Amino acid sequence: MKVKSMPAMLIFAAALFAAGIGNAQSLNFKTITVPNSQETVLAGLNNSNVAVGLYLDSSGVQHGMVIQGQTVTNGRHRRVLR
Amino acid sequence: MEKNGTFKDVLPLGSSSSSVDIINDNGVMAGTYLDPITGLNLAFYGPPTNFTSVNVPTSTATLAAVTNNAAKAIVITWTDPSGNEESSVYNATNGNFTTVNVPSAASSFADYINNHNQIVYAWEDSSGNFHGAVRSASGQFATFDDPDGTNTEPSAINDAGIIDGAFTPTGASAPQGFAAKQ
Repeated sequence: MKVKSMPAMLIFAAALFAAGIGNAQSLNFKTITVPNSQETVLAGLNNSNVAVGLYLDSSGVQHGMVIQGQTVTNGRHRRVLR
Repeated sequence: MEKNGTFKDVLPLGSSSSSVDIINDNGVMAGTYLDPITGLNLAFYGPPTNFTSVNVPTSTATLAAVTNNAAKAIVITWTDPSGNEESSVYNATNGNFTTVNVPSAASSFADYINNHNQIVYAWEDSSGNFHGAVRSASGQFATFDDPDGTNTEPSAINDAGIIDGAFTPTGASAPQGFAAKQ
């Protein structure tokens, strides 16, 4: 089931799987949307499951972001995602 | 950017324009630069004190270059003379190039290589739609799409095999992020 909340991603990320990609049909997808954003794009991911990317806020302003733990951080503020 | 928050330009090999696409855990970077001699965008990789230039022989432009911690494989996305995007791996040990396009793709954009030498791609079909693919270290491809939308465009794959990127949800026009794992 797809969910659109960051905690779901964290659960997903925390449940790391040991095996590598091998079968396209068995991939499980989670949608990652920054709340109240117009769009969200994930551009990078490290081995600690910290993702980086960008989102457009409700005013259309683009923000760079880091997704780590239960928060999204950008250049101006840090907010907890629900 | 250093720990104190300052920025440094990275302008390899006398260039005036560049893009760094990756830095590995050892400080080795890879990316593209505008070659002042040929006027072409070429790939570069290496530590900041010793960048090496790489150019796929039939390339008309280099779009991106990435590597992993071993820095033995430089994955390059480039434009061919027909205007299609292709992907190649440069073997930094022997200097050989291997084309690693997604089978049947009109264009292949290799976005990332992890430390297991898995390469993740965004690729374009003949209708202009984007999809994802992963190439294993042994050269096997697996394609994928986010089942809840179109234009799946992965950006990275980490060592655990988690892939992230963006796609367009069904009925929407703006992209959203995704994370995917087997």
